[in-house]
Amino acid sequence: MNPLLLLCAAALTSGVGALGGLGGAIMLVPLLVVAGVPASEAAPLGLLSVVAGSSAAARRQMREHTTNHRIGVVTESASTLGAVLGALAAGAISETALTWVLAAVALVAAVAGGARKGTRWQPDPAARPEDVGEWVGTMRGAYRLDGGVVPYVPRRTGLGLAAIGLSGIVTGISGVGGGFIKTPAKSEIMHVPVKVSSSTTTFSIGITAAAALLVMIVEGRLDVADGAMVVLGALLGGVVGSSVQSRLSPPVVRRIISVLLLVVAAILAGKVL
Amino acid sequence: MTGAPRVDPGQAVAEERLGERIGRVLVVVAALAVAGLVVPGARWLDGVAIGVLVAIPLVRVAWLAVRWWAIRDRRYALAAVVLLVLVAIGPLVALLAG
Repeated sequence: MNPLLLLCAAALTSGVGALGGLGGAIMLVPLLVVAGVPASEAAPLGLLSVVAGSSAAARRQMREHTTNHRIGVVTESASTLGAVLGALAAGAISETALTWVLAAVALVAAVAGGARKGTRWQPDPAARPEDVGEWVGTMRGAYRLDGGVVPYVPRRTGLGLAAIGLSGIVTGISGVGGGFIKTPAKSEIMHVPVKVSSSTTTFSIGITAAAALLVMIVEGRLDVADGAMVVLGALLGGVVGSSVQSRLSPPVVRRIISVLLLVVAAILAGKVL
Repeated sequence: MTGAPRVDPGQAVAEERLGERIGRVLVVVAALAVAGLVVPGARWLDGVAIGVLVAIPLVRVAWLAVRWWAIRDRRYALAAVVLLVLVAIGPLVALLAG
């Protein structure tokens, strides 16, 4: 593939991924495959774009304290455990059936996020600017919105962890990154504010992508020259995507995520039709 | 509604500082990647760039584990360690499988 096109594709998909907290691999990998890159070579490039995009978004997200690392660590543990179980169960379910399930999940998440009106968590006049960030010993926290401070309390944690663990199983079976399940699971099931959910997923998917990429590097599946182009593009995309996201209101971010999920559902359905 | 928050007073500054450091490391990663692409015979620099990049998220989790342990948030510190152990399993198995 033309190196400049590879750089542009990585920048575009990583930027969109950082904007919605979905990761860019789910869009980059199909693009590369359509462009003629073998799937076995496209997968590590997709993971590399996720790691680069995640780290590129970190600076802004840590400055604005929208990432809840405690939620990220706990949910990613569930997801990674699921991925290990999924890898062990690989072959027990056909890839076509699994792809249809993923497309349906993306579609349901898109409709659930898009149909919801307004903003769930509102600024609390009693909350102080010092309360912004994640709170010690809990998954609660607060973030800044429209000059106010918005405290939030994750709900239905068990159900949310189950959904995110399921996304890990799907990742283990299919190799598809689970960002498109994790972000809506946090925002729509656990009621984590969409900006916090998106930032936290951007942080956490970088961890699993790094671990999976290490496996592929050990197996010698990564072309370093193509990898360097993807790194440069994804770093640029991650910075731009997180910058744009911080300027948008939560309902707009939620609508963007819904549209992206529809695109993901269409890509997945297109794979098996 | 949300209960009395227990905020780590040094958290904001520590997070911002880590974010700045990650930003600086990424500038180095980008410079290495460009150098590997344009300098003849320096393709190994691309490998170094990718290696450093892959280490960033894992170092970030290790940093969280140390920080949370230091402020006596031991439950989440242990969760971070468990996560690191879980993510290490895959590459270790791949290495052992040769």
